Order: sequence, then C-alpha cells, then structure tokens
Amino acid sequence: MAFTARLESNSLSVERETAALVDASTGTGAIVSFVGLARPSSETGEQVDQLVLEVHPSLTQRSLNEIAAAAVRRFAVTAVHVAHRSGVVAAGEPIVFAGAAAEHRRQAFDAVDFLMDHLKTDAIFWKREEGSEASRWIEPSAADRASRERW
Amino acid sequence: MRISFYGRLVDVFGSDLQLDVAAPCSIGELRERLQAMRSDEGLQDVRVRTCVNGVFVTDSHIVQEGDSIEFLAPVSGG
Repeated sequence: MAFTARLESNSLSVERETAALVDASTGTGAIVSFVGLARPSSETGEQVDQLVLEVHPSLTQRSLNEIAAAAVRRFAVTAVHVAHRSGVVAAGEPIVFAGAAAEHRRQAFDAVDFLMDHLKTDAIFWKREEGSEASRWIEPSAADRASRERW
Repeated sequence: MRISFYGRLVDVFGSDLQLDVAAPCSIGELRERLQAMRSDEGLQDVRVRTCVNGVFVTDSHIVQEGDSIEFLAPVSGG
C-alpha cells in the first residue's frame, strides 16, 4: 500500500487533505485524522504571531517518508496521509495533517497517534516562534518525548 | 571545504561558511575548531548531528576534500 507524506510551502487546506485521504481509502471502514494548528501563545504565555518552520533540502522529506512508512509497517492500515507545512505559518493556521484509514477504527486511531508522536520528535524541522518581543527556537517538550517513548 | 548549518546554529555560524581544512581531519576536530572560531559551545550539544554527503556520521568520521558537511541543531520536531 502507498503512503503520502508531503511538505507544503503554501497554506494547508484541511478539506483538501481530508478529501485526498478519503479518496485513498476506498473500501475501508474507518478514517481518522489529526490537524495541528500554530498556537497564538508560547509555553510561557507570550504572544506568538507566527511560526517559522525551517527544513533541510532532502532530510526533512526523508524523515516524513520514514515516519509514514513506519506507520504502514506497524499498523494494519490501508492508507496513510501526512502533509506538513514549511515556511511561515501564522497563528491559528494548520501546520500538520496526519490521517490513516483502516478496516476498523482501533488501527486507524493508533496509526495517527503513532504518526503524531513521531512527527513531534523525529521529523527534521527547526521551528522558531516569532512575536512582537522576540524570536525563540522551539524544542520538543518533555511531554512530546514521553509520548514518543510509548512506542 | 564548505560547511552548512541548520537551526539555531545559523545564529552563531551563519547558514554556511568556507573553511580551509588540512586533511586528515575528523568531525570532532572540526567541531572544536569551529567552536574556537566563534567562542560558542552550541556545537558541543550531544544532540547536534552531523551529515557528510547526505549521510549521518559520528565525530570520528574523517572528512575528505570536496565533502559536503552539515551540522544540524537539535530538531524542534514537527
């Protein structure tokens, strides 16, 4: 089966990505998806106007492929669909779409949970929060790291 | 030798620089030299990864003339 793992430098349309996943999911009984949005404030409460997601010319795409492929190997899913922003993302805008289709809902839920826990720690991005005060590089949180360890 | 940087390392070193390096030179030695140039210890973070010609390598890797060397700051994740 095929997976889609795409870097998107323009805005992400949740409707378009959902439609693509539904198209790739013919004959299954369950489709699950997650959307991550750029938060309007940092962990310390400062206003964030935009996130800047920097990528590597080849390694970022490769990391998305590896994570999507790992989900396909591990779970009985018939489709996996990941779309991830690069570049400038305004607060409130979608950063990532991760979805999966399976015969039954448990595998689809688990596959998307797996995708997000791995995307949050292993995907090769460097993110900066930018607000009126300053610019701050982000690292995975302790919660992100703990989530990754579950697998 | 052309060396590129990603993530917060760019703030210290710029996105890339040219360096004359006498072979043989290991990645570990290169890191120390760069740190001395900028009086910065960002490269000492064990989570900084190094790529040579698109492949992840360790500090003991010996670089050759013409190699493309990249230092990747700890990733933020997606």
